[in-house]
This record gives sequence, structure tokens and C-alpha cells, in this order.
Amino acid sequence: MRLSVRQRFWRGVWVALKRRPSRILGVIIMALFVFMAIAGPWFYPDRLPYNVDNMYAPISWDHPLSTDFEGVDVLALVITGTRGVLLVAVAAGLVTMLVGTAAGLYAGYRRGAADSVLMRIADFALTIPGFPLLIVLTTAMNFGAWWKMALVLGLIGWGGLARAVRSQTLSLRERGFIEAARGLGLPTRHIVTKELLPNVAPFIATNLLMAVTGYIYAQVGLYFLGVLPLDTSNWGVMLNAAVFQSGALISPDALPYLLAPLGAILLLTLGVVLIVDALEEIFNPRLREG
Amino acid sequence: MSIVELSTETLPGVAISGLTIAYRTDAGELAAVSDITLGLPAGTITGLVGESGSGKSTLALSLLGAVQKPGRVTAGSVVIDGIGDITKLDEHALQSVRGAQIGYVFQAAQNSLNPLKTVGKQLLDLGRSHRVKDLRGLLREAKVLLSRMGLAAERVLDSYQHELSGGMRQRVGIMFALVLNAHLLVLDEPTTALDMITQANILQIVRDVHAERGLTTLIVTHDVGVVAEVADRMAVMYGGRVVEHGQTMEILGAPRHPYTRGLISAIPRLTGPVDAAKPLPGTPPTLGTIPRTGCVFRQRCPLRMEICDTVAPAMIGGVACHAVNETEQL
Repeated sequence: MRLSVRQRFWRGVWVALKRRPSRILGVIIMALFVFMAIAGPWFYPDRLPYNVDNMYAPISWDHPLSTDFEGVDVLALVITGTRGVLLVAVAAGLVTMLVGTAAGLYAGYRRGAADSVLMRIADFALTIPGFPLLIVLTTAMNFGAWWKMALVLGLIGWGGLARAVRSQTLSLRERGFIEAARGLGLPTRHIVTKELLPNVAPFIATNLLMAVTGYIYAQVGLYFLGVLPLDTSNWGVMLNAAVFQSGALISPDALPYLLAPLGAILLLTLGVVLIVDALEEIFNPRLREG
Repeated sequence: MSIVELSTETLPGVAISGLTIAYRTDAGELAAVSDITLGLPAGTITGLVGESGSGKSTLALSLLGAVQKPGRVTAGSVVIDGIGDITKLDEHALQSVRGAQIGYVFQAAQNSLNPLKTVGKQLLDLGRSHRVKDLRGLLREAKVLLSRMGLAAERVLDSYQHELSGGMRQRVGIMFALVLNAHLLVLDEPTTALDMITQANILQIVRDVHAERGLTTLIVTHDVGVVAEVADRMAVMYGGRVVEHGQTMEILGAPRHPYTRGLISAIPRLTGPVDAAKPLPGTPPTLGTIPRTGCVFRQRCPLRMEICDTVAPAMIGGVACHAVNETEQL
């Protein structure tokens, strides 16, 4: 039976996932978080039910992850906090992907002066310590809106991706099939977008997913340190309250309140890492079919 | 089988004259090809032989106007009938000529396919880039060519690069070069890295396709055997210059230039003692060590004379050598 290219691709994805069950686990974890981010807030009222008589409740079916300092269910907090965390991380990732890929492809394919200028800028972006810069920026700008935060995170983090894409492009542009494409008279736009880009795609995807986990840490870290307004639902806000208000580090009662958001971050990172592992095999038709 | 009219008007001849191509390096501009004048008569197969680094690939690329930076054409012209002087065309005009009128099969054609796309997908890319209206017709033409070369066309079009053998990829490369009905075909090392039987196959295909489609063909190779097999005419390159050119049979039967003689006597025979084959003494020059004045071959030449150090020999009667000219004039 002959399969179309698209069918072959999806079958290849399935084969790559099946080869290591851990990859399926990664997909399940990611799917869970995406579901929580999209649908999570629909299951809960805007103001989560609280009960000050039931602070730090013991773990039970009603409160599987205990309750916080005002008796709000911790599981509900984790679920409703997912949307904010993922929205910013994914949006920042998109900014990084666009800027980093464009800069890397252009610098690598054109070389020369444009390359030098773009890479000096990328080096500059790489050498600035991102997190301290973010803390400084929070005093100057209002990060309340998610898109502002995403824009700043994305613009700080594109240097690594640009470098990776550029070095890969430099190597690919000397390969026989690119030379042949030029020799057959294919236009430059076609060569860059249709011949080079798909071959760089696994590097972009891998770098991007790792960057996204970095953005999750950065954003949660900013909330945890309390440099951002704490009036939203975010895992960082939970960590901040657990440590600085509930004293989770010295009081064992409040420990689940601290560990729940930490566990969520850990699980999400694990999901990303497990999926990254499968990407190379999915993109490469040679590895795909085996 | 597509029937190509064998009228002389459609056959493009090529006239290379005074062509010099230099690469800009840290040591200044170095000429990889200097002052080459060579004609490819319409409808012939010309073999271009030379050692690695003799400038033969650079010369072949100049037919496409595709000399890569930091190299550039510093003097001379490459006039192709029906196209004009290719060194004067802008990038846009070059793109429409490449593939369509000039078919080029690259060195290491085994690596000339995009590893992420099937051959058929790449064929459609080629068609769209050259604004081919009738993509079905293009596919049909590709299938005709592939079947002509002994491949299962349907399967090949549906395959990725890694699913094809070296010889198959080479044939796919030739198909890409000819599918848009190019009449000038340039093959850069078409038989390198293939086994003997596949080599013989590919050469047979080149010869047949050349005759059937009425092409003007240039084969670049370091293998004199390949030239002897298929080429009507041959040119020998050394250190960026053509040192001898003419009818293949005449040159192979009675080589005149000391380098050509050296090349031919270095070929081992199937029978007889192994040391009957005499290797050329010395090593070929690299881009940086090509002599700037005088004859490029003099350091390895058994017929070296005083004049060779100062004056570059002119091409007289198909050979560029002071010693040969002197003896032949007597």
C-alpha cells in the first residue's frame, strides 16, 4: 500500500514514539498541561472557594494536595495557574523562534557583513545575564500584561537559537544538495525556506523547547522573588506565598503547598525533555522509518 | 520517448575565450583558471581532464555563471549560443537559464538530493521554480528519462535519497539536469565513487542520451579512461591552464604535451609488468604555488628550457609548450 507523504510522516511520528515508551509519557504529560492551560479555568469559579477554618488541611479526596493559608484547594491553584505560565512561555518561545531563526538563517546564508553584525548582537544578547536584567527591567516596566513579559523574555533569549541555526546553516549551505539546487536555478527564497529550513527544523525545535523551559523558570522565579505583582494565579505566586507567608520551609503543615507548584514545574520540564528526545527521529526520514 | 529535433539551430556551442577566474585569498588574488580559450562545438562530447586542483571544476562552474565567492571572473567571456555571454548575465537571468538551458550534474551527485524530500517532491519544486505550467507533463518527461536510464520510475520518484544507491542517485542527477530539456549538459566527475560496472553503465547512458537528445556535453573528470570511452574531443588542464586540446583519438594516440604524455604513461596496463606505468615526478601545484610567470608545468617537465621560466607558452595547434613547438617547427 502506498502512503501519501503526510500519512508517512504521522506514521513515522508514531514509530518514533513507540520506540521508547518514555516519549509517549512525555506526550501524555504535555497533553495534560496543555489541557489544564486551555480548559483548567473553566472548571473553577473566578474566585476559588476558600475556608479559613480549613487551612493546611490534611491530604484527602477533597483536597488531594492540601490547602493554602486561606483554605483554598492547592490542586485548583496549580490547575488555574497553568494557563498564565504556559501562555507566557509559549508566546516568548514564538518570539525567540521568529527572531532567532530569521537572524540565524540570514547570517548563515548571506555571511559577510550582515553575519558579523547579527552575530555581535547575538553575542551581546547571550552575554547579558538574563535573570538579573529581568529584575532590573521589572522596576522600569510594568510586566502585568502577559504579552509584555513574553516579548521581553523572548527578546532576551534568542541569541542561543540564532547561533545554533547559523552554524547549522553554514554547514548545510556547502552540502551537495544546496549547491545542486543553485545549479538547477532554484531561486534563493526557495532554497532558504524550502531546502535549508526543513533541515534546520529539528535544531530549532530542540532549542526552542529548551528555551521554553528556561522561560518557565524565569517567569516563576520573578513571581517567587516578589518583583512582579502577586495578584494573578501563577505557580510562582504560590511559591512566594508558601515560603514567605506560610513559612513552608520551617512548618511541615504547609509543605504540600510548597511542593505542589514545584512538582508541576518538574513534571512539565520532564515532559519537554522526553519529547525533545523524539524530535530528531521524527524530522529525519532516515531515522523515521527504521 | 521525447523526440528532440536534431536541427543544428537548437544545438548550443560554447566559446570560452581568455577566461580568467581568480579567488581572493589572504595571499592576494590567485588565479584558479588563467586565460583559457576553448570551444565546445555543438553536438560533441568534450572531456576535460586534469589532476585535483587543476581548475577543471572552476572552469565547469563558469559555464553556469556559478563561480562561488570569493572567486570571480576577472577577464574573458563564456559565450553560449542562444544565451549569450554568461559572465555578463545578472543573477535573475542566470537562475532562469540554469536547469532550463544548461543542465549541470554536480560533483558528488550522490549528495545532490535533499535528504528530507522525495525525488518527486524535488522535481515539482524544480518545475514550479521554473514556472512550468504543465507539471504532469514534467512528471511524464521525468519518468521517460528515468525509465530510459533503466530505473523503475514510479519507485524512484517516491523515494528519499537514502533509499537509492550511488548509481541510481547519479542517474537521478542526470534526469534533473535534462528534464527541462536542456541542450548543454555539464557533468562534473560523473563516475567518481561508483563501482566499475555502474561507471560503465553511466557512461553508456551519457553517450546514448547525448545522441538521442542532441546535446552538447562537457564531462569533467580526472580519469583519462572515461574520456577515452565517451569523448569526441578532449582538453587537458594543468595549473589552471589548458595545456593541450583536440580530437580525443589523436591526443590519446600521439600525446604531444609532456604533461599529457606523463598522464597517459602513468596509467597501469592490465597485462605486463606493473612498473611499466611511470608516475609523474613531483606534485601538482596548489592555488598558492602555481608559478605566476612562465610555463606552469616547468617544475615537473622533462623538456624544460630556459624560455619556460619567463614566458608562458602560447597555444599553437592545440598544444601549449615551447619545446614541442620548437621540435615541430623544425
